Amino acid sequence: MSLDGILEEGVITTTVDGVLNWAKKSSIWPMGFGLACCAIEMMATGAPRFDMARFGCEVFRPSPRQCDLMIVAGTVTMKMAPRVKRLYEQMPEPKYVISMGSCSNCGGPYWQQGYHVLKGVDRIIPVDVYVPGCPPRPEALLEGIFKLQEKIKMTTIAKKKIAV
Amino acid sequence: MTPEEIFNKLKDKFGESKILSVHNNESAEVDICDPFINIEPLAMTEVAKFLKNDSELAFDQCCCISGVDLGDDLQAVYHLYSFNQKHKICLKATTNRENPAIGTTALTWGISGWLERETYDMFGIIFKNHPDHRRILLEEDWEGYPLRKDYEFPRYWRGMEVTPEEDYGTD
Ligand code: SF4
Repeated sequence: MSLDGILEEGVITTTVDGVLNWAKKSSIWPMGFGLACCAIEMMATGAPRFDMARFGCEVFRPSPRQCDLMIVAGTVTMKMAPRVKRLYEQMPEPKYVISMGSCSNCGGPYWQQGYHVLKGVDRIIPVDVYVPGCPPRPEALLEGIFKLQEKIKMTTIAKKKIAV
Repeated sequence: MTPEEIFNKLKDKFGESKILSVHNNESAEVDICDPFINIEPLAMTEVAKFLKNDSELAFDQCCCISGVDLGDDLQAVYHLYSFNQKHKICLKATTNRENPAIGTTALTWGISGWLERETYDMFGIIFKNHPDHRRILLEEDWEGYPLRKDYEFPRYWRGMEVTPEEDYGTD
């Protein structure tokens, strides 16, 4: 029996990686939480005018256990930092982080006189994509999500060779 | 009522040792936008109670409590308003830096509870007999009072870097 008989109309061939990554990147569920002014832009991104739903990531979940993506939108204060870290730890794998705005990238306007602000969320959790701006426009956040989707497309479930 | 009338009424009730002085534009060289009365800090509790409950004064609203670092002293500033009488006044209680203590007004005006906690958080002023005397914005184990002029930023807090090394000690 040849493949010709099986591969009729409506059947495609692909790799396991390809189909898994396509599924992952097409429904990234972000966590519904914001820390400061940047969160307003994040909400605008989710609202009809910019409509994140077009790219499959409109389902803001209220529980970290149902999320794939954490958008750190706003100022990470010292008091909030341990909580952000715990939320990240509660998310199931695979999980991704977008750092949105100058504050969570590097402390932003609080770099020098902010005794209460963590100087970059990447000091406590790993960040996949940084979105600069104060605040970044919704288009910028969308661009950050595209970058994340590109990154997801390049992942593989095959074991990587480890140099000895 | 004018600030002078409020001042005289308070002085008749509590005496000169607790109600120290009144300041407004006529008596000062510098411009004072809010006429204020200086109060002995530990008398604040009873003065507040009287200000609220007396029918002529009837200060039913505590708009704001602020802290001030005067260098040698610390000060709490209370802005009061009466919806009933449509008058307002500002009170100032000055206390020393080493052992700063002011009588609480939290039992008189509900909102004072939080405002005093914030003043404690930022300036380290102790409000005597406050029902819930804790920090409000910073974590319990934070050291120092950030809005004091001599506050030094910590280098680390719970293992997280607060001040980058190149900025440490340079203010
Ligand atoms: S980066 Fe700017 S807009 Fe965003 S949270 Fe910080 S101060 Fe607010």
